[in-house]
Amino acid sequence: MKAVLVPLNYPSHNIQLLLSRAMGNDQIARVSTKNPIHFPGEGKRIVMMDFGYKKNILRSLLRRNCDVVVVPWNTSTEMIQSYRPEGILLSNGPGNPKDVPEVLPVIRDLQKIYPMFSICMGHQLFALANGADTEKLKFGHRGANHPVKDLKLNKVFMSSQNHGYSVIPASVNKSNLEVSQVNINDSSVEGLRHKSLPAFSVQYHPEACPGPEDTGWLFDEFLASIRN
Amino acid sequence: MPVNPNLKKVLVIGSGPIVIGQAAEFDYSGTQAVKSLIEEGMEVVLVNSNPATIMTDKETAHKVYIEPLTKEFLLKIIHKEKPDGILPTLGGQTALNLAVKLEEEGHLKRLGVQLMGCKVDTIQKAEDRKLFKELMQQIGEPVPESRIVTSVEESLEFANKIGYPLIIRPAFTLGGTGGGIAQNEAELITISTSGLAASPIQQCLIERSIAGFKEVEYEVIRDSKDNCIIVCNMENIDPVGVHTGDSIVVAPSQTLSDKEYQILRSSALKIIRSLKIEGGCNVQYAMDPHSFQYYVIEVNPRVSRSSALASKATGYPIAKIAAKISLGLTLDEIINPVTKKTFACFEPALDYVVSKIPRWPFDKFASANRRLGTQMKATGEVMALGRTLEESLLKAVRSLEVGLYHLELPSLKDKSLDEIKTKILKQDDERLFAVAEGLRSGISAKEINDLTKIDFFFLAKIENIIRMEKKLQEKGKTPETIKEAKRLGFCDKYLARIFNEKEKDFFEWRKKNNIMPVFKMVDTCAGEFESSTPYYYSSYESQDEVLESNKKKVVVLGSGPIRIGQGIEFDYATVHAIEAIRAMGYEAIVINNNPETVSTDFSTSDRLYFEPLTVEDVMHVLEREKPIGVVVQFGGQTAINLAKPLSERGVTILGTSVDDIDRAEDRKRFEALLRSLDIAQPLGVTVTSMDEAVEKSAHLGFPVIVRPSYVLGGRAMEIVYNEDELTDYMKRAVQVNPEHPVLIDRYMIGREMEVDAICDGETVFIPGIMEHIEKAGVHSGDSIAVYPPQTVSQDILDRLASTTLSITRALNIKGLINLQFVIYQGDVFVLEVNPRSSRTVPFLSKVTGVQMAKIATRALMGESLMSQGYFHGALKPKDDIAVKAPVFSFAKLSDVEIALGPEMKSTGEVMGKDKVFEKALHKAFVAAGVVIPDSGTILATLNDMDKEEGLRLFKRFHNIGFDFVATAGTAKLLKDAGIHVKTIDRIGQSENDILKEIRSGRISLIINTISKGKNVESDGFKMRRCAVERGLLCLTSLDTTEALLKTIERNTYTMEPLA
Repeated sequence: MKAVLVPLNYPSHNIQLLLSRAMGNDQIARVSTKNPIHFPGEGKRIVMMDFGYKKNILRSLLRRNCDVVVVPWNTSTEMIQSYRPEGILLSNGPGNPKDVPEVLPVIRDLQKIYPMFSICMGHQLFALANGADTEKLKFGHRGANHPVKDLKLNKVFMSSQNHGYSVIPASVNKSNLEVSQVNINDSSVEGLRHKSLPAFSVQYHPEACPGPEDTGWLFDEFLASIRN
Repeated sequence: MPVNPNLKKVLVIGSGPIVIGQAAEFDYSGTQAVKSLIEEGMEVVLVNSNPATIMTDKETAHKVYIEPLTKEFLLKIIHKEKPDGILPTLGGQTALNLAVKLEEEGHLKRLGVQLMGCKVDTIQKAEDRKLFKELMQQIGEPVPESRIVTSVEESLEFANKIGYPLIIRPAFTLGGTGGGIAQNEAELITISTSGLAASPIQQCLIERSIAGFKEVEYEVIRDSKDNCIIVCNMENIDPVGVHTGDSIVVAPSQTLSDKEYQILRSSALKIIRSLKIEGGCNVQYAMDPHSFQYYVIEVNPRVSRSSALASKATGYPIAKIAAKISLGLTLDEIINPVTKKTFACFEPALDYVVSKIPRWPFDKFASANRRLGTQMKATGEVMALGRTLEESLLKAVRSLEVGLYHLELPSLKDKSLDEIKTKILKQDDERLFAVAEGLRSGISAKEINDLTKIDFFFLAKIENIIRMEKKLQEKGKTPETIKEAKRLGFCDKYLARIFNEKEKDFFEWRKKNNIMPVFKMVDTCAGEFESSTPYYYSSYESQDEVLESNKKKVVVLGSGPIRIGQGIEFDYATVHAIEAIRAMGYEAIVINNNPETVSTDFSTSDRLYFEPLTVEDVMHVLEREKPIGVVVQFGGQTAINLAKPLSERGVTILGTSVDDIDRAEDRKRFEALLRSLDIAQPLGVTVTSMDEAVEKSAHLGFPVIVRPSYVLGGRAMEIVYNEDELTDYMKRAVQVNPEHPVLIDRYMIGREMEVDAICDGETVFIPGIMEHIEKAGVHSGDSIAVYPPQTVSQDILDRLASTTLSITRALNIKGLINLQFVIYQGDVFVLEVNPRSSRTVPFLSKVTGVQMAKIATRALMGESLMSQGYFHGALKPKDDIAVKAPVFSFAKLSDVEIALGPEMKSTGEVMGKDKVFEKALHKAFVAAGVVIPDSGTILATLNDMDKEEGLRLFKRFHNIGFDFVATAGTAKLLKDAGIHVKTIDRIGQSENDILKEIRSGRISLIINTISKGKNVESDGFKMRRCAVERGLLCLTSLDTTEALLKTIERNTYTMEPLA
């Protein structure tokens, strides 16, 4: 559904004009950082590819003493390697994951070299990079009360969600990935794990803020995968 | 996980009688739980002593026992029924305490019964203050500095260390009985003394007071797989310091940031996990408004009053889910019963605001201390939903039925700012209104926040209401201003008043201007998923969410909040009416505002409208639903009072006509009716001056019952025995003038009888007649009732029946009617007729097996009694004898007179049933919590009128092993009769006065009949209060005394030497 936000008494033909405009496909480029930013810490060095990252992802890493470099969405593998990271985080971000195909080869390269953790948009890109597919949901998932079941732990966690696209469950079968978590209500894909590499992803926001802190442990799992 | 295969048969324990702190919410949770267990294939055995509940209907479970909730009776049932499991987490503190006892004493292990819902060590960790504190420290959850004490000395020691104010919380008590906040040493001594006495293990927690912090509660559910969810969080408008049961509560929390919300949420999950609770649990927090510091106040490892509120506030049925979890099912496999599409493992989202306001009994107990603190005092509560907080708050205010319909208390009008501030500081039940009046009079929100610590957000909301009042004054009545006022919850009655209009005309104007509410659905998910649960609330918005239906509909009005005089009995009848209507193929719609009840469970009716029971709010539903009619006779006085105004607006009242209701309720018309039928009633007059009162009373003949229409203070109704008493009482307590007439009736001292009957307009069927143990003069709700009558001749019973038949027919009753009689010198006199369902309907339905409310519903819908298989006349009594006994909550209400009289004081009831009268009576006493002494010392003080009868009883007590202490007059009586007695002094006469004797612990029973000249200061009052505070049985009626004596005689031995 398209909508526009306009001032009161805004001319209706202008509203129509706005509505008739095609949806942009450069949202990620518009919100991503233009230059790398370094947030120093004494622990593991993490490079976060910024597709429109939420501050609390950064804080979640910094709270765990990480040394974080936030890089623009279109940074090359080489450039990222030059920061000598110990792990890679693919952040959340707006829009359709298929708008940024140029990121996929970078993800494929990086996941072979470093442990990787991806969130939301990052999760969808991780899926696309590994041969799975994404689609637009009819309503999307919004809110802080989405039940997600971890298939290994056989336990349910409340999660904070805000996404309109989703990984197609059937598409995972032909990829290098396996589904690690599902949504209780609609069985949609909530988490993926690479079959052979230390890389995993979630569709929701484990960094919370707003929302429940139930899945904050995923950051610890990510850091543990670096140590291993 | 599948249902535990070891469980086939489950025993569910109910919560017993309604008392302050444990009310109808446990009928709701228990009923839900039983249904839920049956859904999973369990055979369910249920035990509860409270007959006024839906859960004790024999259709609710496979087997239902109405027996006292004591270890002894429970063991009998367990031996007989051999259940595999016992579920105690849905019957309040009563059930939980019983389960702990059974487990600790090894009975459950011995009998191979599994304790379901939680483990005993969990209960202990949550409820024992010391263990709880240790656990919290272990898992790093903050609790206020505190110390467990078992003596007053220890509490003083702690106070010397950390200073005041301090909170005293007795361990293992309901609703914080005996606790309080001490500001200084003197208060600490008083409160810790009563707290230690109230705790069954003589243990109190003394802790640093965190009064003034935000008080927030979380309702948590956990399953055996360790999945945990928060169903709802709630915030008290009243900060820490007022018991949460006495606080005005909103849901969801309104002033917490996401960060604060999540801090507490994570803490609540951590706590339920560490306690390993499988089911529902409630965690209370104090949150510092100025930092992120919080404290855990309390954990209830069971379904509670708050969880009933949370269930109704969100639509998420906690008890139902908790019951399934107790069988081993997990949240991710239980379907969400509201959406029927999603699972129970999620957290509800609310797109509305819920307000709960407690209903206090201070209208009945004028002398009670109204200050709110750690001891809960409310008997019930109302809930309202709205799209704005203002709307939900104002809807809740007018749901209370305390004569108020806006944030306006007439008694505060024209008060000075200082007086209003004093009132605000009093922290009583009227503080919300005082705060509003303060803001209205120009006291700043800052100052009110200083005085009360009520959050600025809430004050701003109240200010919005006041700003709207001013705007209405300035801009007048326009569609725009009214629309805005309506969105803020203003009612027609207020708006019509300020515009000098009739409420009805205002409603019509509004309708013409299309300012009508729409109805929104409570769907647990704020519209995210499709939902088909017809649970609605009104709001002034654009999109209506009511599901259309073309079935014929009938609306049933509920009974509103539980209060003294209108308890759960009326919800019972309401639910039965709904069931009958549904069974007849109609769609049953219920309107009610009490979140504790079964009637407001959305699965009870076809459609539930959670709305205030006012003409305006009811009319909105009727306009939307267009039912064939409205049933008013099951919702107590609340619903009956709406009959006339609704019919004036063209609504069809199903059942007894409005005019016939009026003929029964209007004193003059009723007198005329009885005269025309040649039926006697005690003579009565209406007087408008003191002289007239004196003159006419002399003519009637003393004693007389005086009923003022306006009460200055003290009791509303009183029996006086001579002219002096009359003038004294009238001067002291009554305003009498042409505007406030006083009714005076001859008081006939005789046996009181009660009859409930059903009529279809033609046939009158009498399921049963009850006899009261206490003579007329004690309110029927406070009397012990016996079925069938034990001391009345068949001739009298026949006359009662024939009188009932003729009055019922003459009133053209369609549905239920209740009649009260007094037998005076062999004649039958009518005391009172209620053209509606009564308090005794559930009791009588259960003992006679006649489902009165259902039959009455069918009758009023046009199905004749004959066609239902009933006949004209009285049903032959059953062989079993049943006794209904009242239960009081005096321990929770300081400064309340406990002596029985014409004003009702009890909060609940229990039933005892057996083959023999004395055994049934015994069960009723035990179920009511009376510790029946087998022998011991009786403290006796009688007034002169009662001495003769008293002596007869004393002799019998003496024969079975009782001795006496008494004040001079009564002592002489005993001495003269040759019975040993120790004489004690009146209060203050010496060191060894009555109070000291009561506190000595040597007394096992007090028999005290009140002398005249009563006021709060009198000795008798002090003595009775002292007895209540020590937990001693104090009988104020010789009739009750004799009943108790009979049960003791039956169960004990005569102690007589050889002749």
